[in-house]
Amino acid sequence: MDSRFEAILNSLPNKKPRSRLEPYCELILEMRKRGQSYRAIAQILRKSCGLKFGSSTVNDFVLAHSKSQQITTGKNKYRSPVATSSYNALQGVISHSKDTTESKGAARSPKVLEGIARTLKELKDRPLKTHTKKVLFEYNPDEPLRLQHDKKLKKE
Amino acid sequence: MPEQLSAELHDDNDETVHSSPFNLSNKRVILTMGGKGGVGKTSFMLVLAEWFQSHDIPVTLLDLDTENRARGSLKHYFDGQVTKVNIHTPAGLDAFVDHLADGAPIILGDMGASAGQVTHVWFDSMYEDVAATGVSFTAIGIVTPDPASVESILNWAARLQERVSYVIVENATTHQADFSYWRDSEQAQQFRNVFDPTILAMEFRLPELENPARQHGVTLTEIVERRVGVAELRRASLVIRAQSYRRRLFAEIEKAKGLLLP
Repeated sequence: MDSRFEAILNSLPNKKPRSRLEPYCELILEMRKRGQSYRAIAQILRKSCGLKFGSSTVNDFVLAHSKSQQITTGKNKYRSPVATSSYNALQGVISHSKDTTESKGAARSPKVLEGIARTLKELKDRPLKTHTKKVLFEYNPDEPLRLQHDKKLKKE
Repeated sequence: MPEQLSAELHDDNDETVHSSPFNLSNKRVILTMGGKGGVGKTSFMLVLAEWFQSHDIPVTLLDLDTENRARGSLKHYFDGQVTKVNIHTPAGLDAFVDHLADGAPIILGDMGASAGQVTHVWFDSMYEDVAATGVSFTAIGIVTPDPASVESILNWAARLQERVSYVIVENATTHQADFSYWRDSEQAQQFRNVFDPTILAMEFRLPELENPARQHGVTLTEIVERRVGVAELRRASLVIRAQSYRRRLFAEIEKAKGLLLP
């Protein structure tokens, strides 16, 4: 980054997190990763942490967090290590896509992107199918039919 | 949409290919096999069609013998009930699928002598997916004393392999027909060992019955029921002969009913 811009950024005071959910960010994202619904997460936070939030607030938080992660770092905590290279490649494809805007690319949730990345990896790793037809009976049309009693006569 | 992309990618999975949108179980395609002309393929299919009719089992008759002249074809005997299909197109035998999806549980397909290549290519490309819909296939081969008829059957079997069930009809084209090449050749023996075909006998038919019936496009049942306007086929001896001939052939067909019914 340009040194002038860095200087500007450094001069800005550290802003407190706007969301009261920020301290629970890791927990919330992990719960999403484990398939908990927004409503369930809100209930767990209420029960275990005494936080009163609606499911839509949790939803907004997760989405905002995902967007900011994608835009600023391009990294994602959700990713499994095996899908990392595909994920990065996919991010590149999406951000350079001609028919989509940058914001549209960024709007894809990490979970969806990870799903695509996993699918691409599975597809690449899948061995090619070789269609080997089961041959139970072989016949050479260029050979004449061999009568079995001719064979017997020859032996005699 | 990512979900769509994911679905498209998964279309290549075996599970997706094998879950067919059609359920055609309890349907069967019965087709003649063999590239030798004049061995009696159409004659046997006629009797088979009559057998189904006698049991009130609906069948779809397809005449796939594009080279056979009208007089000897299935259409000549069952005019109005037979669909003529040109299989020498890129779609090949796709007519089987459409007719099964739309109608009767059984298709009787009378293939021409020149249908080998088209049939083999079609089976190679379509069989897996058509069979996944539940359709069964039975190939009927006709052998005569002529070794060429046997060679032709073996040639087809080497291409079709176990994708069809086999019924072999020994057609006695002469009074004392000699089926040595079918019964005693090593290659035919090997075929029988591998596929265990059901073997039926089609006995020699008197020319005075066979020739006018073929000439006028008359079935055995029409002769037996005296529904023919041809004087020579109304002779009492021929009517009784047709009746006994049909009875014995029907009895032979019963032996293969497991491979003929859906």
